[in-house]
Amino acid sequence: MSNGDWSHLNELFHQAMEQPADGREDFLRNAQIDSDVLRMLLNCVKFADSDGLQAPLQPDQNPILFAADSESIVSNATSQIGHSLSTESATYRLENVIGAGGTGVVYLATQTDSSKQQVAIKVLRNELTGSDTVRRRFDLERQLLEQLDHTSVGRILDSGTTSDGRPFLVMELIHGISITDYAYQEQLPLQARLQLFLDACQAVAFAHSRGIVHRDIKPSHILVNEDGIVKLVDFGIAKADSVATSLLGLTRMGESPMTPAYASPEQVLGKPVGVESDVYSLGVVLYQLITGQHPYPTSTNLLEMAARICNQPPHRPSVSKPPDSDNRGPVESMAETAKPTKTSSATDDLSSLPDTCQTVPFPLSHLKGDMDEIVLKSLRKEPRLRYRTVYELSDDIVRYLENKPVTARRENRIYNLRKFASQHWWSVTLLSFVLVSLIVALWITQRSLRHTEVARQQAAFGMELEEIKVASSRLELGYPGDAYQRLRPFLIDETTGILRNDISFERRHLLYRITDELEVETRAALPKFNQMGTVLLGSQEKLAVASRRYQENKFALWDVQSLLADGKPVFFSDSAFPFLSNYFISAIAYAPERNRVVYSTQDDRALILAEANTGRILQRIAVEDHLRVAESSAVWMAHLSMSHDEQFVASVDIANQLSVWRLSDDSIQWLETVQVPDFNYHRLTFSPDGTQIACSGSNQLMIYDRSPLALRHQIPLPKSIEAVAYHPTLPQIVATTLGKDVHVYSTTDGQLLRSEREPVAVRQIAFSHDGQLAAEACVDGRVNLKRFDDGKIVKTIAALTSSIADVRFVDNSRALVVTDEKQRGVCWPVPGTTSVLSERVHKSTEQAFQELNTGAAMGSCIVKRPPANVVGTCDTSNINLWNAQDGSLLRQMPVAAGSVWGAEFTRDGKYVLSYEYHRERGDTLHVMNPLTGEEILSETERGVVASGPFDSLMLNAVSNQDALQLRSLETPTQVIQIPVNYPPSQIRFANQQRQVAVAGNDMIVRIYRYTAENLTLEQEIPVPTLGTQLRVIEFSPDDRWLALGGNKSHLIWNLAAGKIEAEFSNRGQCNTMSFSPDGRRLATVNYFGPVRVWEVETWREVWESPTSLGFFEAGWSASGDVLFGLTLENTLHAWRTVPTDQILGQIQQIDSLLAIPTKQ
Amino acid sequence: MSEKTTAADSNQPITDLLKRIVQGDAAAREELFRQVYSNLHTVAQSCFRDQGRHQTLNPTDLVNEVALKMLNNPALLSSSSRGAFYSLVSITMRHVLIDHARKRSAQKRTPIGDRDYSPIDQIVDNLESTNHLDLIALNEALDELKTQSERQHEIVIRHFFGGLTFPQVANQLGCSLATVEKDWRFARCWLLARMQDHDDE
Repeated sequence: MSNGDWSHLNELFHQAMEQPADGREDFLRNAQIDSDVLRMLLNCVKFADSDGLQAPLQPDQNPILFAADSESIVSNATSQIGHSLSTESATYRLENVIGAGGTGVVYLATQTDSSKQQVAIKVLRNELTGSDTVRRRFDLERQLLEQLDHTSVGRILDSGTTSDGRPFLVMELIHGISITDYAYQEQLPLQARLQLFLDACQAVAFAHSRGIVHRDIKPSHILVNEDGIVKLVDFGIAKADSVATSLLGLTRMGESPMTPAYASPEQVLGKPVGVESDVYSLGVVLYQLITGQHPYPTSTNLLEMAARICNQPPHRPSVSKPPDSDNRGPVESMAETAKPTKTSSATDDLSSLPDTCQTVPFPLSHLKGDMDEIVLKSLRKEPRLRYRTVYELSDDIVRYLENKPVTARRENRIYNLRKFASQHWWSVTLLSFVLVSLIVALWITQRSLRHTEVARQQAAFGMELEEIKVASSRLELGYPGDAYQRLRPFLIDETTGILRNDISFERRHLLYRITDELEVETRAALPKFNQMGTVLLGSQEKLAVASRRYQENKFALWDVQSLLADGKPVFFSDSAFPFLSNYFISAIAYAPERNRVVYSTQDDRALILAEANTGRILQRIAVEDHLRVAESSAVWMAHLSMSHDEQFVASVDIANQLSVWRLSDDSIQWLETVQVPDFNYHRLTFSPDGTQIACSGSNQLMIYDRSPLALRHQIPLPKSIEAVAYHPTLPQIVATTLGKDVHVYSTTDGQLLRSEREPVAVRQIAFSHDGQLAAEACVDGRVNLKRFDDGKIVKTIAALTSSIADVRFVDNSRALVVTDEKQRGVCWPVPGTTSVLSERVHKSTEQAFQELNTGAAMGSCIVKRPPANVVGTCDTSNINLWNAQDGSLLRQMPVAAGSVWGAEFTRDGKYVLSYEYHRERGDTLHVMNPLTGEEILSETERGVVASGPFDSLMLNAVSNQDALQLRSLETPTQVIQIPVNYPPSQIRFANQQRQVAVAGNDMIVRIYRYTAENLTLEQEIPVPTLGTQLRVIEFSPDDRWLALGGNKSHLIWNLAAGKIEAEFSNRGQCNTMSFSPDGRRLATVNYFGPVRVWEVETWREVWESPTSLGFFEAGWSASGDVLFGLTLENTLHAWRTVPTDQILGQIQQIDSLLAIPTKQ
Repeated sequence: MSEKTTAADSNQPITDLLKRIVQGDAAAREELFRQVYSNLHTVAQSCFRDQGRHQTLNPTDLVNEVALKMLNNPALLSSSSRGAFYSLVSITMRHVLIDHARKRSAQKRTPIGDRDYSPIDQIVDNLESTNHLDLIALNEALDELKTQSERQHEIVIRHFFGGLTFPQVANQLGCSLATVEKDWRFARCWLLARMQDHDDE
C-alpha cells in the first residue's frame, strides 16, 4: 500500500466516523473502494468504540489524579441504600455507605429480624465481579476471617452473594476510631499508649499464629472502640501461606494495595513478605503512637517515599521533629484514596491520611534509650534484623514497662547495671557511689569518642573525593578488587550492609564498573535486573559460553572433551564464568581457531577485539568513527556474527546498520556498511561458506551478499522470527517464528521450500555438522532432535532448564549443549551416536529419562536417618553409602529388584530397610546389614516400610492386601498381620512416643499407638487438600509436628492441637519433607524443583537451593550441618548449614562435596 | 507538585541539562538521572495502573530496567532536544515491555513454578488484559504501521508507551493537536483491526 493509499484510507476512516454509528458500514460500502481496503476499514470502524488499546492516560489528565473516580463509586453505592441482602440465615437492610475502597463498598446495615443487630457489609464492587483475582481475594478474606476468632479481630458474621452475583461479607460493626486518633483524643500518657499497642500486637500475633500475615497494618486498621477495646480490621490483602501463595498473583506486591507510608521495605520492593513485614508496620504505628509523627519525612511522591522507606534510617523517636507545616501527609495507596464519607464510625476500608502532626502529652526525651531502641529495631530495613516475631516485640515493650533490660538494647555491663540500679535502687545506693565515678569516667570517654566521630565524618568527605580518584585509577590499571575495597566504605552502610542511597552518579557508575567485586555484598541491594540469557559460541571442539545480564558479563571457554570427560551430563552454572568486561556487553562473536573474541560494549560504544582465553584487549574501536550516528538512536551493536573461516565479522547496530569487518589476529578493520530496512531485534548468521549473511528482523528475513554488501533476498514472514540457521551442507536456511512455524527457504532464490507447524514455538535451532540432525529448542524447555530430511523426531530431551537460551552440537555432533536464561548450561549425549564417550553418557541418562517418560518411580532416593558422616543414596540396583566428608564410596549393597522407593537406617544404625518396585516382580522389601552388606530379609509383595525407636520394631505394608505387618527385627520371621481398610502409602514412626503414622491413599493419615503386638487407632487426619496421593509423612524430632505431602500440596499438622499449623503453596507434587536433626528446619523438595528450607514454628521459607536442576530428594546429615539434595541426574549436591540463630537458614555450598556422581 | 507534572514542564529543562552534560557538568548528570528516574516512575505509575481496580502495580523494576537501559544509551546524551529525549523514553519502554512479553510467551509452557514472574511481567499481563491486546502482536502491527506512516507510529509509541499527553506529543512532533488526535483515532483502530487479522490468520 503506498502512502497515497494510506492517506486515502485515513480520510475514509474519518469520514465514516462522522456518520452515526449505524450508518458507518453503509457509508463505507457505498464508497468506491476495493474489497481488501473495505474489509480493513470495516474492521477499523468496528474497533472505534471498543476499549482495546486505550491510551494509558486521558489527554491532559494528570496521571495521578484518578481519585475522583471513587466518588462516583460512592454515589453509585448510595443508590443501593434501602435495598436488602439475604444470606442463608438472615436478611440485612442496607442503611448507609460507610466507605468504599479497593475491592468493595462497605455499608452499615441492620439485620431485619427482631435482633435489629447493626453490622457492616462489604460488597464486592460491581465492576470487579468479573475479575477472578479480585473475587479470589474477596473469598480469601472471608476464609481468613473465619479462621480468626479473637476479641481483638473484627469478626466475620455471615457471607453471601447478591442477586446480581456479587459476593459480600457481613462483619461485626465496630464503632471506633484509629488507635492514634484515640490516643490523641484521650491524651493518653505513654504507658497507656503502650498498653493499647500491646493489645494490637496481641491481635496481630494471633493472626500470625494462624499463618496469616496482615500486610496492611496502619492506624486506621487498628480501631479502638468506646470501651477502649482494640480491634484489628481489614484483612483485604492479608496473606495466608496456605491459600494465597497457591493463587499466583494474589501474593504479588503489584496487586497489593498496601499503604506506602506503612509498608515495609520488602513490600515496597515487591519481595516476599512475611511476619517481619507486619513487625515493621507495627513499628511505624508505634512510632506514630508515641511521638505523634511518622518516622520519615512524608512525601506525596511515591517513589520518594519508597526510597525513604528502603534507605533512610528513621530519626530516633526521642529526637523526632514535627514535619514542616507545608509537607503533606504520606500518600495512601490508590485503593485507599476513596474519600471517607461523613459517618464517624470508622471501619473497614475507611481510612484517612495518617496524622502527621499530633502532639503527645509527654516530652519526647522520655523515649530516649530503650524505647528508641525498641522502635528502631522494629523498623530495621533488613527483615532479619528486626524482631523476628510480634511476640518478641511485645515482650520487649512489656520489659520496658517493667523497667527490665530490653533485648533491643545492646547489652553492655554499664547498661545492665544501670537497669539493675533503677530496679533495685535501694539496695545499690552504696554501690552506686563507687560506680558513679566509673560511669562518669566512661561517659567522658564516650563523649570524646563522639567528638572524634564528627571530626572523622567531616574529614571523610574530602577523603572520599580523593578515594574515588584513586579507585578510578586502580580500576583503569586493572585492579577492580582493589578499587572496590577503597570505595567500599563509601558505598555500603556498615550497620545494615546495604548499599547507601546517597551515592552520587559518579560513584554509582564506578560501582557498576567494578561489578565483579560486588557479587556477594551488594547483589541483594542492587535492583534486580533481568537476565539476558546465555549464548553459545564456538566450534565442534571448543565451546565458548557468553552470558549477559545488566552490568554483568561472563564468558567461559570450554574444551568440549573436558566437558564430557566424566561420562555424564555436565551442568555448568554461574561459578564457571570468569568476568570479561566491566561494561555491558551487547553482542559477542567468537573465533575459536584464532583464540579471539570480538564484542561490543554499550557504555562506551566500542567494538573490541580480545584474546579469548585471557580477555586481554588487543584493539578497541570507537564505533562512531565508522558508523553514522543518527539522532536519538544509539550505535552499539545489537548482534555480531563470525564467519566460519574467521575472516569476517558482521555487525548490526541498533541504528539498523549492517556492517562487515575484516578480522585478523591482531585487528578488526571496517569494510562496508548498509542500512537495514527493518526495525527491531536483528540477528545475524553467516552462511557456512561465508559468502552470505542472513539478517533476521522482527518479521522479515533478509539475506545479504557479503561482498559487495548488498541485499539479495528479502523474505517477509507473518510472525516474528525466533531463530535462523543455515543448513551446513545444503543451500537452505531455516527460520522459526513465534507463530510456531518452521520455514525452510532456498538461499539461492529465496523461495520457500517447505513449512511445518510445531506444537510450540521453536526458540533456537542448531544443525549437526553433517546437517542430518536438527536440534530444535522449544519454548516449553524441550529439545527435539529431528532428522532434517523427513522431519521425524529422533528423540525429545526434556531439558531441565526452564527457558532455553541457546542450543548447539559439539563433539562431532555426539553431544548437545543447552543453556538457559538462568545462566545454566547442560551437556547431553546425542542418542544413536557411537562414540564410546557418549555411549557412556547415553546409558546413564537414557535410563533416567525412560523412567521419567513412563512416569515410573525415579530409581533413586536418599537413605533416611544416616549415621554420622554418612550419606546414603539409592539407584535402580544399589544402595550406596558415601563418606559425607569427601564423597568416597563406603559400601554398595545391591538390591537387584528395581527402583528403590524408600530406604532408611534403623534408629540403632544396625539395619538398612528398603523397599523396591519392579515392573514384573512388584514390591520387594529388603533388610540389610550396612556393616557387612549382608541381606537379612528379602520379601516380595511387601510395600512401604519403616522402623520404630522401640523394641527394634518394623512396620510394613503388604501389597495388594490392604494390610500392615508388624515385627521385631530381632525376630524378623515372627510377623503379626494387621488388616486395614485402605491402601497404605507411607509409614513413619514417631521419635519419642509409641506412635506410628500411616498414610493411606484415601487421603487420611492414621495415627496408631503401638505395642510389640498390636496397633490401636488414635487419630484420623483427613487431608483432602493435599491432592489424590499421600506421598510423604514425617514426624519432627520432638513429635510436635507431622509434615504431610501430597501430589498437590503439603502441610504441617500440629499433633498436640490436632489442627493444621501451616499449609504450603504448591509448585508441583511433594517429593520430600525432611526435618533437620535439631528439629528447627524443614527441607522440602517438590517435583524436580529446588530444595527449600523452612523455619519450624514460623514456617517461613529461609533458603532455596541456588540451582534447581531437577531435585527430587533432600536429606540432612546426622549432625545436621550438611544438607543434601539429589537430582534426577543422579548427582548429589551438598550444602553446609550454618547452625546459628542469627543466620539460620543461610547455607553455603561446599565445593568439595558438590556434585558427587552417585553412579559409577 | 513538580514531581508529578511530567518533565515536559519541569523546572530544569532537559535540553539545558543535556547541554551542560556535554560540557562536562557532573551535577547536571546527577540531576538528569534524578529527573529521568522520577519521571519514569510517574509515567510508569500512571500507565500501568490496574485501571479497573484503582490499584497501582509496582513499576519499580520496570523503571529500574528502563532507566538503566536509557542511562547506558549514548543516545541519551546525544539527544539534542526534549522531544528526542522523550522519544527515547518511549522507545526504551516499548523495548523493555516487548522483551518481557516475548520472554513470557516463551515461558508459557513452562511449569508455573519454574517461571520467572517478575513485577514487570505482571505489568505486561495487566497492560495486555486492560487493553485487550497481545503486546507481541502489537509490536508487529506497530512495525507495519511504521512502514505506512512514521508519524502515526511515533504518536502511538509516545502516547501509549511513553505516556505523553496529546498536546505534549503534538508539541514534540511539531504538528497540530488536531492532527495528533486524528492520527491517534485512526492508528488505534487500525492497529486493533490489524492484530485481529493476525489472530485470524
